Amino acid sequence: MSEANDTILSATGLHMSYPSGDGRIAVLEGVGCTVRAGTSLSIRGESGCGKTTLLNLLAGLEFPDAGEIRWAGEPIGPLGRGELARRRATFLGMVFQSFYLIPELTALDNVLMAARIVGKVGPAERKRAAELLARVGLAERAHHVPAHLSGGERQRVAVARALMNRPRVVLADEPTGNLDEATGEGVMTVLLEVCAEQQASLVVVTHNALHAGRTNERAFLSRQHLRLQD
Amino acid sequence: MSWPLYLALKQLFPTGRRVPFFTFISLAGVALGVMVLIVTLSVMGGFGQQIRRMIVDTVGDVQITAGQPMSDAAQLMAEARRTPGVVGATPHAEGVVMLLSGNKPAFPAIQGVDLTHVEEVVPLNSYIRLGSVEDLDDDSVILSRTLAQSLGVGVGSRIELYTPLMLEKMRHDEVLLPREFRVAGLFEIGHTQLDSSLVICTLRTMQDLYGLGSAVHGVSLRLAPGVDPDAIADRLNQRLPQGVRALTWMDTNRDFLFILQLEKNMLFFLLLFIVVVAGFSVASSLLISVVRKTREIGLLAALGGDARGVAACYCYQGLFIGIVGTALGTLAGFTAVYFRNDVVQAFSRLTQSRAALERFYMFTEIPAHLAATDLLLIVVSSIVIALFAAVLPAWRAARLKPSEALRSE
Repeated sequence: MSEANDTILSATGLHMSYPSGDGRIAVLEGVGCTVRAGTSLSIRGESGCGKTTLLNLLAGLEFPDAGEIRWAGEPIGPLGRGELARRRATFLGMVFQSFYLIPELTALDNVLMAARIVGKVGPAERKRAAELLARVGLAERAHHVPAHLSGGERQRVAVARALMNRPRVVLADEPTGNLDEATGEGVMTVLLEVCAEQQASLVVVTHNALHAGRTNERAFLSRQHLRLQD
Repeated sequence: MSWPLYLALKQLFPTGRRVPFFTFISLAGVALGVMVLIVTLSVMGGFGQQIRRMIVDTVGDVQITAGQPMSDAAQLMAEARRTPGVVGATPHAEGVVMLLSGNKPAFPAIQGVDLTHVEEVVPLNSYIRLGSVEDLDDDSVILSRTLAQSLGVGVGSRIELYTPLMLEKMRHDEVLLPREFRVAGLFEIGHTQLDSSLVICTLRTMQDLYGLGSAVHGVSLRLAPGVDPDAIADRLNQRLPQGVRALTWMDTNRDFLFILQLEKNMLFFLLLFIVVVAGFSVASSLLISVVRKTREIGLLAALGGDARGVAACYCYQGLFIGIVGTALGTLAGFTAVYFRNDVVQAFSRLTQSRAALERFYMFTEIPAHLAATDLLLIVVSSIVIALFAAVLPAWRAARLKPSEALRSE
């Protein structure tokens, strides 16, 4: 993958292993990737090949044994955990396979939670949250708690939440993995469209070749490296 | 509102749902502990205040004594009356006698009071249950009610008194003749010891019985409301002759007051353990919450929340349980204190123990008084305990690694 001036997220030489018994199991060995601003990248790979680990490393939720990750050109390794968390709140949005909505909050409050964490909850943020929910087709469900939403609706709320703080990059970890084909297709469409509208780059981990085919770039993860596909 | 506080409130009181069971149990535990503390300390405080009032009523705010008979009582009284804040002064003499009624002996304390001044300091009339202070003269005495009952005497009965002075005469081979007195009245103060063994006579009688001449054992002073007894005692001590001292009622009852305070403190610490147990309940509930919400904690990290914020969220929950639980407990406690007499009367009717209550505890109504400092101590202790209970869950939550939290099942 070639470096470019508009690179928004990059990783080079990532090594990652986990303890197992007396030794360690290597998950990533020298993996690198580059995400350009405003583009979408899908990552496929076999189960257990380290896709989620790669996404967590890119998000700064885990730290590699070796290698470097840069957010908008700045290495995140030297940042303290507090500073990293503060920057993550506005640089990244994340969507997970299991939605991870907070059950005590309504759909609108779940979306607003991202703004609360950066300390900005005013009329403008409320308006944006409502607009995002409307954009993902949930204007009528804004005041419903997650328990009263379907799986597809919950994932749409998660998409709106990921975009609430106008992130530069959205990382989606198998966003359609828990949804049926039709619903998954709808969520993927919303995810791609809204990210494009909000000018956020999208990195999506998926098993679904059709969904992967809809992104600008496609890559396949093996232990050694991330290979771009035609 | 910061996100940890917002989320803490939402977790305790979720949108569109009833109060979660764990919140209810935690609040109830703290509230129960606070309520028991308030009721117990109020009743203890009430009894303590009643006892203090009784002591002050019977001995005055300040006593001037010398450890031996004082012959210049009138001068001391005049000196005391000149002190700003002193509103009354009365001399007294006291001792022990042997009392005989028929064949029944008793060894009560005896106090001689100056009938012209005693009401300035001691509200003697208010304690008289039968007879009258006006009937008291140099040939009569007033007995405490329990003592009279034990001797089987009443108003108008005659009793005989023997004094240590008579024993002295007996050593000189003089004939031992007791003094005979008429019972002019019966009094009841509400203090077991005083009500079972005290005889009141005129000061002249006491001086005669003890051979004091015109001397007295002490002068009791009554102060204006709100005047500090210590300040008056200090001021008097600077002017009193050598060997004569002014002591406050706190000085003369220091050991008794210490015991009262010790009992109250012990009860406070023992009952505080109810709140401590409630604190364990809060801690276990919040720990369960941390385990149950592990993935949400991971999500918060993914959204940009830091470990400090996650910890604060759980600390706020403990703090909020402490504040609300304490408020509910305080409300319940004061309600229980307000209806205490109805509760006791219903209980005594149910168990038919009203007579026993009156006989042994000498009350039909439970006194109650809660000092502001006691209330503050209860409130602060309960909130701090609840807050501390949240520290371990908060620490556990903050230590979770975001990626592991998100992967947890």
